[in-house]
Amino acid sequence: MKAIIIDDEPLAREMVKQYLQKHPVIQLVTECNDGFEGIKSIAEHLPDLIFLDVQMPKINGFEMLELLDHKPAVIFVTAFEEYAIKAFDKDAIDYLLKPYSQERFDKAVWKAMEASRNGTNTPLEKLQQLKYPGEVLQRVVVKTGTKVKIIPVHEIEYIQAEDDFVKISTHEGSFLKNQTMKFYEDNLDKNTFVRIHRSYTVHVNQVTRIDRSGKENHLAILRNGKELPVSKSGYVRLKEVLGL
Amino acid sequence: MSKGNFISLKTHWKTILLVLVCLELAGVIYFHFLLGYSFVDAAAVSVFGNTCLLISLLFTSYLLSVYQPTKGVKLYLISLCVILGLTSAFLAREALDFWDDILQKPLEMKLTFLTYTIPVNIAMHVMFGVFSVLLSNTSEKRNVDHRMESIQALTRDAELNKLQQQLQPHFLFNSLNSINALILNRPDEAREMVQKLSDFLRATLKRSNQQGVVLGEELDYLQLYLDIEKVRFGHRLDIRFFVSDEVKGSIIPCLILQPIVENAIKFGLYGTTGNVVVVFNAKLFDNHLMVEISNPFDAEMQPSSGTGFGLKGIARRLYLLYARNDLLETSVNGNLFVTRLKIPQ
Repeated sequence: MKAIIIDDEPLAREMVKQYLQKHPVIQLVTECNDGFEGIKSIAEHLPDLIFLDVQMPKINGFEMLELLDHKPAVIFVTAFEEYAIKAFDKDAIDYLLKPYSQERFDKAVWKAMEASRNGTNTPLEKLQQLKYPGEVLQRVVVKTGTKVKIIPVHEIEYIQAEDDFVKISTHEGSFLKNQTMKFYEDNLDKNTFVRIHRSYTVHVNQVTRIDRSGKENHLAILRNGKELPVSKSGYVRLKEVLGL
Repeated sequence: MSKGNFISLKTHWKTILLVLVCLELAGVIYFHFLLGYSFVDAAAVSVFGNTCLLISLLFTSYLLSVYQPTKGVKLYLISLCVILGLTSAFLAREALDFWDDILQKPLEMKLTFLTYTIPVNIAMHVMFGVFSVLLSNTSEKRNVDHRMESIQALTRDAELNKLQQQLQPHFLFNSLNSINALILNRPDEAREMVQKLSDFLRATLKRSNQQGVVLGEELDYLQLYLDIEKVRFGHRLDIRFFVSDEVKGSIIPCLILQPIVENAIKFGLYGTTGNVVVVFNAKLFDNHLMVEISNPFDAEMQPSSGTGFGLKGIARRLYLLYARNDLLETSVNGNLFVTRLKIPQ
């Protein structure tokens, strides 16, 4: 079983390496110092399992996961209890709270091995839904080809839903991301971003006016000229946030 | 007394209706059966009397909700009830006059009217007033109790938060993890780190009750913290101090430098890879201690949620201590992130 360690602290990586000695079945392919290196290494080596720290330079562990094409099983290694959320407990592989014992480590590894035997992989969708408890999103990470782009949330003009993923539109262009509209509805600042339609969430500052469209619906006209449909309930929400 | 204690028509209309009906009946019985008014007259007279009474009672309730003296409540209540009781009775009689002009009744009836109405009205006012006052007192007490509870809960939370913050769990657990890693292959370093961590914690606890310290001492404490961080980050960290001896005697609030330096390190380390140099500068100027901390900063990397700038707490503390908002400022200078702290001496 191939594994990669991704943590910005050399000693924390060392810890995983030491405990891994007891599991010769697992082959440590490489170590990474941050999320960018992680993305590259995972794409290159296609590991079955990764040990992932959350607090890392540049992009954190959660953000890195959002950008993976190949989805390995994940064991989080973190000092923050808050990041180890329950949603998690049931299907995800595991999380290790620093500092952790050999026994605790073994349990996590066995879980991973069990999961790979059963073919049940970490539902990455669920992991992608995790967020920092109690905070709104400040930025979104997307991939453009092989490069990673970090979009501060205030630059987002609107978000359009497309089946399993979303299209995030900024003045620089549109970016696809493997995420649900609901995730953004829940995690973006509700006073700035309004879900105006089943398929559209808009940044209120981008809306220049709202026109009627037919008997019951409306159209939101953005600064860039784009027209987005507004549903009945969306209109109510939009009015509330705009204070109309 | 809050407005909510004003017995409004909306919420209490059923009770008011019931009272009205009873009063009406009482009036009819008295005027018709005891004084010999005709049934219609008795009913009419009763209606006038009771309407005025009702209006007066509602007015009483409003008055009591708006103002209640803290001393001499009884006197206030009694005088209010007597005055309003009399007023309402006389008002009713005036209304009756008007009715009489239309129907022409003898004066005698009006006198008996007052002998009934005045005592009844005053009695009703007193009962009503007492009831209102009691109602407001209990609800006031409940408000006070509730507020006490909220305050106590807030205080408990604040204390707990303070303790948690001081212990700095993130730093603590990460350090313990590092020690764990050192035990097997570098046991001497592990021992050393255990000692450093223990010293740091001890110093933190000692500081938890202090207000101001001498800069020199605070720098020593900071050094403990930095030594541990250096171990964690594999010696990528290089902190340079430029503090002259004379400045070391100035006073600085406790535990204010460490979060700022920690912040600088996080940004320096989390924003870049490779060696990080953090520069710490302190000097006296214009009766202020000026501290400047700069670290490398990748302007393209916005802070991810969860790390943030972390300095709001410090700004708030400074405001609470010195009532000034200009003591902490940050700026970006090319690829350097600079934090400036001013402490009045």
